[in-house]
Amino acid sequence: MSRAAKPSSARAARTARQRPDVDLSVAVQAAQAGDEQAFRLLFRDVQPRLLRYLRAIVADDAEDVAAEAWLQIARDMRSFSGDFDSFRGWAATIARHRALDHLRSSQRRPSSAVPVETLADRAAGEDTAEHALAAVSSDAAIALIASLPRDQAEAVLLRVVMGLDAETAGRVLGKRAGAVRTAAYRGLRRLARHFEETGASTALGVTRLGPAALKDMR
Amino acid sequence: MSARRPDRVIRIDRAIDRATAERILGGSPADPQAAPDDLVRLLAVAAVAAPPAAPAAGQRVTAGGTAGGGEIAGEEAAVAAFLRAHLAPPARPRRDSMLKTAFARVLTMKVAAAALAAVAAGGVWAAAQTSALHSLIGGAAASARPAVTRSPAGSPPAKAAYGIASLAGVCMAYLAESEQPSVPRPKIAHQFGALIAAVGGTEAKAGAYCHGLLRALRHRYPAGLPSHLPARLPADPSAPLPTSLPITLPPSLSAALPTSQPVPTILPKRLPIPSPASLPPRLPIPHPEQ
Repeated sequence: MSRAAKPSSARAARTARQRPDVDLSVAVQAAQAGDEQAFRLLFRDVQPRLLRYLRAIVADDAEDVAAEAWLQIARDMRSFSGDFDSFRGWAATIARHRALDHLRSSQRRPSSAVPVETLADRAAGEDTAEHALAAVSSDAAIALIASLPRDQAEAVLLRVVMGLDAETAGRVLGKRAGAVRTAAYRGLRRLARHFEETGASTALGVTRLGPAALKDMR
Repeated sequence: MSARRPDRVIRIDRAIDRATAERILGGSPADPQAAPDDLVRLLAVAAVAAPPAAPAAGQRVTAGGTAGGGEIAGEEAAVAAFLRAHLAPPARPRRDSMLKTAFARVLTMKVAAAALAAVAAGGVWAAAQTSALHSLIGGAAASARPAVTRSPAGSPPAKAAYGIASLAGVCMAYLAESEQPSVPRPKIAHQFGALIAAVGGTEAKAGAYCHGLLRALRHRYPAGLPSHLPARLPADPSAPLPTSLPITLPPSLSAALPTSQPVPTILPKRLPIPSPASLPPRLPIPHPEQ
């Protein structure tokens, strides 16, 4: 019935969890043909990424900017062509433009460094349930990356969070892939130096909250 | 724990190189000897959102603070936009252009009215603006040809009823709005853009112009505006403007702007009646029987 009516979305939904990238490419096609379920799949995968990426540019306004970006994504979906990898790049490009518009219109400077000590305090103070810790540490991790100079923060987040390769990230940023690699590399070095200087285990609680370590938390 | 720290720090400092950075950025497992633990874990935590769409996870709270249960914040709005985009027939450009046409008509009317009244009011205000208004009229009338009918000179003025009355109305509306501090300036600039542009581009000039026009009218018609103001203006040799611009309002706009209908509200009471000495020497406002 409905599966027969929407074969592509059913297939996308069924297999999206096994090989996300490949099958979300199917979802991209289905969504372009007007399939609502497929569009929801894309949204659920990409929106959390966009939110984290946007925090490097607009900090607390990430949700508003992402909402604007999705209006445009939804509207222009039909004119997009490519697989899921390029879809993420396309979405990031749109989100980035909206974020820069937002900065211009609010005359605000890009978000600057949040004192890491604040984050450490917050992370250390959270000793509740496992998922709360995970959420806090994820927040703190993004905030720490977002505190890098913006070109470095964007390069790192586009690679790590949006899951783009250097070429696609370069297209989002209007730079060559080599420039993106360099910016990301500098960002990582800076983060490594930060850990070195502050003592990593107390900086964020991040070192204790890797996926494996998390299971042992109480 | 802290006893271990110095060893690791030293290793971090040595270990990070471009190749390693590239590997961990790409999500590949890095050589544990080469990749600093803290950095790898930081990126791992950053990369993984608490999965909002995992059905078995139930009500998890994601990094973004969004609700669980499969749906995440903003989804319905995005889906609604998606459905709108895919259900809407591609008829929007035409509607837009019709709207634009209608707007252009209104603007044309206002600009033409401003020009007519500038001639009518004469004196200091109009003299300064003649050439600007002239070019405005030429451009606007040409661009909105379907909306504006140029009658041959000397045609009966029955329909050419657009002029001072409407400009007085525009000016009254402008002064009323612009003198209210609660009305946002951009709104005024947008609403009265044609008027402001016609009198020199600034609100101060528009204010001076409108005050002047209303003072002049009040002086000319001390008992209040007559029920019908003249639409056609006499030739004014000092102004190189067309002395008559017979304009026929399209039926759809006849309600939107005052024409030769009786002028409903007379000039605002609070405007001071100027002494004759403060007025321009010559006020070329015609008599109705002209």
